[in-house]
Amino acid sequence: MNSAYLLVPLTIFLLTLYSLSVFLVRLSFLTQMVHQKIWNSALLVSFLGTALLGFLIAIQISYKIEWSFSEELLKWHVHSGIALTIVALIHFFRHTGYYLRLFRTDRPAEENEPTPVDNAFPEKNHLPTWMVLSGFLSTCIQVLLIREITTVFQGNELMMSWSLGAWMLLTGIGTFLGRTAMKYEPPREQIAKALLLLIIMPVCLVPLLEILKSELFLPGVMVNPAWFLLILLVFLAPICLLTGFIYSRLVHSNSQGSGGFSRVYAFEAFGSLAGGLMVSFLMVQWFSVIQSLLILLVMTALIAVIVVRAKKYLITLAVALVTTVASLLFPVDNWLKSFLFVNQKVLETRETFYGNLTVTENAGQFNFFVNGTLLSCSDDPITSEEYAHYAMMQHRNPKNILLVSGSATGILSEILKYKSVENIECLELNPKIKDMASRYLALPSDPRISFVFDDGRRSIQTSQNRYDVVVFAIPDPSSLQFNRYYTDDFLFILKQKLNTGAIVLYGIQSSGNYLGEARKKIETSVFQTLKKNFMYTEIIPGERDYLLASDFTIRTDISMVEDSSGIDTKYVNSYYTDERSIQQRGRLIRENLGEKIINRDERPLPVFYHTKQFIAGYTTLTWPVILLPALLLLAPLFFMRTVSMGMYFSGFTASSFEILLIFTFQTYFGYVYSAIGLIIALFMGGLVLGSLWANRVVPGKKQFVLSQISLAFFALLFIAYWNLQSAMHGSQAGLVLFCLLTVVISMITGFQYVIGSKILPGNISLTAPMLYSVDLIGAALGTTLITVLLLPLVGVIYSCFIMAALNLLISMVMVLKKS
Amino acid sequence: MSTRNFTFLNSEKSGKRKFLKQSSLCLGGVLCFNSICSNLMAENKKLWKWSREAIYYSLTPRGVKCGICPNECTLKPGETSTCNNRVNYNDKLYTIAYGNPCAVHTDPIEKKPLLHFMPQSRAFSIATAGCNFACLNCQNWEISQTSPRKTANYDLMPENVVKQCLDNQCSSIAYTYSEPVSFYEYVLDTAILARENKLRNVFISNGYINEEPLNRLAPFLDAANINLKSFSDAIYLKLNAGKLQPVLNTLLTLKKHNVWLEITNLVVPSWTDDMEMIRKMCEWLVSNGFSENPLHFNRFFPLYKLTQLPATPIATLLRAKKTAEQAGCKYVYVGNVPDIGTENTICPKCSKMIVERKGYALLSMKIVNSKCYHCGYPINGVWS
Repeated sequence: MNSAYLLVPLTIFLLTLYSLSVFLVRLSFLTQMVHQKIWNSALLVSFLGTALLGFLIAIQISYKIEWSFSEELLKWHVHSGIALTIVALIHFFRHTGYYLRLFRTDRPAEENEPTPVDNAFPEKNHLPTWMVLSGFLSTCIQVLLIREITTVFQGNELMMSWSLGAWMLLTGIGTFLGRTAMKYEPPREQIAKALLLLIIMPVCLVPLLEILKSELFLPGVMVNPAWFLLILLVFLAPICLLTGFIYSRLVHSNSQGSGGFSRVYAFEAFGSLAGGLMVSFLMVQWFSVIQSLLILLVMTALIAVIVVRAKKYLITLAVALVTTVASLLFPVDNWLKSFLFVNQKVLETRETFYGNLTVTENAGQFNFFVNGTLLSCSDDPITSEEYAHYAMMQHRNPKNILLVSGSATGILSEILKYKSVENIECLELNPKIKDMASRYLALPSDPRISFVFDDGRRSIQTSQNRYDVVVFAIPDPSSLQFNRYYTDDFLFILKQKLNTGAIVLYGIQSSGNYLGEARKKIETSVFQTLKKNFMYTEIIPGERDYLLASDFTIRTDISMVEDSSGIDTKYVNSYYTDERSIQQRGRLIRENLGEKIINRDERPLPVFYHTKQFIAGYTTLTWPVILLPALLLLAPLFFMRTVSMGMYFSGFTASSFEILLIFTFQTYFGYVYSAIGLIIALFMGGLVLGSLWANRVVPGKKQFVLSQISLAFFALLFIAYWNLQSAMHGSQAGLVLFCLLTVVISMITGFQYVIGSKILPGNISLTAPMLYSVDLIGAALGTTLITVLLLPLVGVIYSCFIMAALNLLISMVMVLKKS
Repeated sequence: MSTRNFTFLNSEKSGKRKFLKQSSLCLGGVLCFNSICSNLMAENKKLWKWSREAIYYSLTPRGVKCGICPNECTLKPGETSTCNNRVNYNDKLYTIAYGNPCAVHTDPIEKKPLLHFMPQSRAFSIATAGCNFACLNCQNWEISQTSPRKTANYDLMPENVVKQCLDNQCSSIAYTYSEPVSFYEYVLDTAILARENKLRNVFISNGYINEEPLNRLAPFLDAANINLKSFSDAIYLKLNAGKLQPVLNTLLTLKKHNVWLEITNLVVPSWTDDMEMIRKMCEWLVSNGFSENPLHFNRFFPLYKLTQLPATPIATLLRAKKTAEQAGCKYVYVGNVPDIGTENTICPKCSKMIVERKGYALLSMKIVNSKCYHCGYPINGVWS
C-alpha cells in the first residue's frame, strides 16, 4: 500500500456502511433496534479485534517469538483500532444526547421510540416484478462486478473463487440479517428505492475501484491476496448485504400469498436466469462494465416510473439516461482504465465474451492486456523467436503448423520464414484479440495462414488436419481453463493429429536461476506428462522454459540447428543463445525434476501448485491463506442443527457440482463460453422446477432427508458420468446427459430448500431467508474450496466421494435424530 | 419433530454437548498455537552446518546489531535479519548461508552484464538465498525473498567453489543472482581463496553495503556490477525497500579501491523511466568520475509483483542512452534487447566502432593495449 495504514479507506467504508444502514432504516427495511444492534456488534467486534491482536503482539514481544506475520499482525491490530475509533465516534455522536443528559440536573423523562406504523403493501400484484427484477439485477451486477474486479486486480483462479465465495457469503449474511431486521411492511415504493440503490451503488463503486487501485497501491503492482480479500469484502459488502435484505423483504411480503415464499424463490431464480443470459449474450458483447451498469440503472428507473408512478423517479430516469448517453458518447472507459495503466495511453478497452481487452501505447510500443494482465507487446522479438524457432528448427521439412494462441505476437511472422511451410492454422479463442492486434501490429497477411476462432482443444479434437509442428503459446497450466492443454488426456488426442516426426512445443514460465518447489512440481508435471506420450522430451531454458516433445530425437544444440536451417533471426542464434548455458541449465532442470506427476483432466494438479507459488510471493503461510477462508465459512456449522446443516451441505454440494459441471463441459465439449447461457438457464430452471415440485408434495423430514441422500447419490452418479464422458469424448449423448445432470442437481437443491423452509418451525418469512442464507454460505464454501483445493489436489472422483460422504453423513445424523 | 432439533441457532444446548464442543475447540486451539510457536522458535534458534559467526555486528542493550548493510537490523535472540540470512543465537550474530548456495551456474561474463571485463570469459556464478532488498520486480524472488533454510542448497564450501570454478574452466567467480551482501562472509572467504588460485572475483550487487565491510572485501574484488535502481530515495524506498545514498557511497568506495565497475539501471515503466531523473543520475556519475565506466540500461519485463506493467519500450531505452551520453557517460549500452546495435563499444574520441558484439559473441575487437586501435584513446576496462 502507498500509506502504511488504511486510515482514509476504512473511515470512508465505515461511514458508507453507516449511511447505508441509516438509509435502510429510513426505508423501513431495518428497525432502529436492529440498526443499533448492528453497530453495537461492530463496536464489540472491532474492540475484540484490537484487544486480541494486541494480546498476541504482547505475547510475541514478551516471549520473543518470531512470527513471519508479525508485521501483518501489527497492521491488523492498528486497522481494528481505526475501525474501533470510527465506530466509537459514531456511537458517541449518536448518543450525544444521552451523555449530555448525564450532566444535566433537570433530566427529562426518557422518550419512547415511536411505534412503527403498519405500512401494508398496498398492491401485491407488482411483487412478481420486483422479485424478477431483484434476481435479474443481482445476477447482472454479480457478473459485471466480478469481471471488473478480475481486470483491476488481475484475478487468478484463487482470487476469482474468493470473489464468488465472498459474493455468496455476504448475500447470505444479508439475507440472514434481513430476516429478523424488518418489522414493517414497506410500501412498493421502498422496494423500488432499494432496487435503485442496489444498482446505483456499483455505478459509483466501479469508477471508485479503478481510482482507489491507483491511489492505494503502487503502480503496476499485483495486490497482496490479504489486501485483495479485504477490499473484496469492503467493496461487495454494501451491494451483497442489500441484495440479501431485498430477498428477505420479498419473502416477508409474500409469505402468505399464493404459492407462498417459494414463488419468490422461483421468480428470483427466473430473474437470475434472465440476468445471466442478458449479461453474457448482450451486455459484455456490446458495452463496457460501467455502460452496462448504467443501462441497468436506466431499466430499473424506468420500471420504477411505470410501476410506482411517482414523478421523482422521472428525475432519476432522466439523470440515468443522460449519464448513459454520455458514457456511450465519450471514452469514459479509456479514462477509467488510464488510472490502472499508469503513464500509458489507453487506446482501446472493451469487454468481450472472454474478458476485458485493453490496448495501451507507451513510447510507440503497443501493449495488449487481457483482464489486466500483459498478454504481449510489440517489439518483443525474444519471445516470438523462441516460440517459433525452437520448434521449427527441429523439423527437417515443416509444412503444416498449428499455433495455439499467440496471434498478438510476432510468432506467425517468424514461422513464415520457413519456406517449406504450406499451412499455418492459428487457433485463437477470442476473435477480438486478432481484431485488435491487426489494428495495432503489422500482422502478416499470407494466404498460408488460416485463423480458427474456437476453443483450441475442441478444435484440435475435431480437426481433420495433421500437423508437423504444434506451438502452444498459451499461459502456464495456472487455471483449469489452460491446464486442459497440458493433460495426458489431451496429449493423447493431440497425438492422433500429428504427422510422423512431428514436434510439439510448450513455453512455460522460466525457472530462472533456481527451480523453486512449486515450479518444480509444475515443470515436472508438464515434462513427465509429455514424456509419457512421446519418445523424446527435452527442455530448452530461455526467456521461458521451452518443453519439446517428439517421437524423433530432439536437438538442443541450437546453434547447429540454426546453422543448418539458415533462417535469419535477431535472437535465436549462436550469438545470443549461449550453448553451454542452455545445455547445463537444461540438464540441471531435468535432474532436479521430482517424482512422476502425470497431469490428468481428472486431477489438474499444476493449478494447485500455481496457487501455492502465487501465495508464496507474498507470504510463507500458504496453507492458512488457502484454508482460512474455508475455515471461517465452516464456523457457522457450530451454531447449526440438522436442517440448517443439511441445507449448508446442499449449498456446498450444489455450488461444487455447478463448477464441476462447467469444468466437465469445458473439458469434453470445449465451448463453455458460448454455452454459459445454457448452463445458467439449466441451473436456474432446475431451481424453479425443484421449488415448484416441492409445492406439490406434503413437506416432511422424510422428503428433506431423501433429497440429501439424493445429493450423495448424485455425487456417485457424477463419477460414473465423468468416466462415461471420457469414453464418449464429447458426443451428443454426453451433452444430453450433461443437461440432465445440471437440471437434476439444481432441482434437488430447489426442492430441498422449499421443503426445509416449510418443515422448520416458526414463521416461514423467517425460516425461508434463514435457510437461503445457510444455502449461500455453504455455496460460498464450495466455491472457495473446489476450484483451488479439492479439484486440483484430490481430483474429480475423490471430490465426488467427499461430497457423497458428507451428504450421507448428514443424512444419517438426521435419520438418527429422535424427532 | 421437535423444535430443539430443527432450530438454526442452538439456544438450548445441552450442557454436556456444549462442554465437549468448547473443550475440544480450546484444546485444539492451544495445541495448534503451541505447535506453531515451538516449531517457529526451534527453527530459528538452531544453528546448522552452514552457520558461521558474522564478522560485522555489535551487541547492544536491544540485541545484536548487524553491521553489514545500512538496514542495520537489531536482532533479539532467535530473531532473523530482514535479509533472511543472519540470526541472533545466544547474543551472537551468525550467517546461516555459509557454503550452501542454492544457485550454481556458469555464465558468459557478458551476461552479468560486464562488457569491459575479460570479454568472452566465463564466470562460475553462485548465490545463496536471501537479500537485503525486497524489489517488487525481482527476477530471482524465489531465492532472494526467502531463507537459506527453505531452499534446496548445495554443500559448497569456499574451497569447493574454487575447485569447481577451475574444473569448469571459468576464469572468475561471480557472486550474483540474489544479493552477495547478505552472504558476505561466504563471499569474503571464497574471494580470498580464489585470489590465491589466480581466479578473479566478480561482485554483482545492489551495492547496499556499509563502508567498513566493503573496504575489507574490495581488495579481493576484480570487478563489480552495481545495480543503481533509480536516482530517487522515494523510489528506492517504495520499489526496493532501500535507500539511495548508501549505493552511491558503494560506487565511490569501489572506485577508490580500483575495482573495475560497471553500472546497471533497469528502466521500469512508470517507475524509473523519468528522463529528468536519468539525466540527474548520469550527471552525478559523470561529476563523480564514472564517465568512463560502462552504464547499462536494461529492459524491464513484468515479473514477480510488478505484473500490470508492459515491457520497457525500446524508444524509452534509446532515449535513456541518449540522455546519458549527453550528460557525459562515454560507454552506454542497452541490455535485454537483441540486435539493435547498442551492444557495440564506440571510441569516445574517434567515434569508430572498436568492439563489435552480438549477444554474447565478440565479432571484432579493435583495442590494443587497452587503447583504441584507431586513435589510441585509452579504453577503460580489463581486456585480458
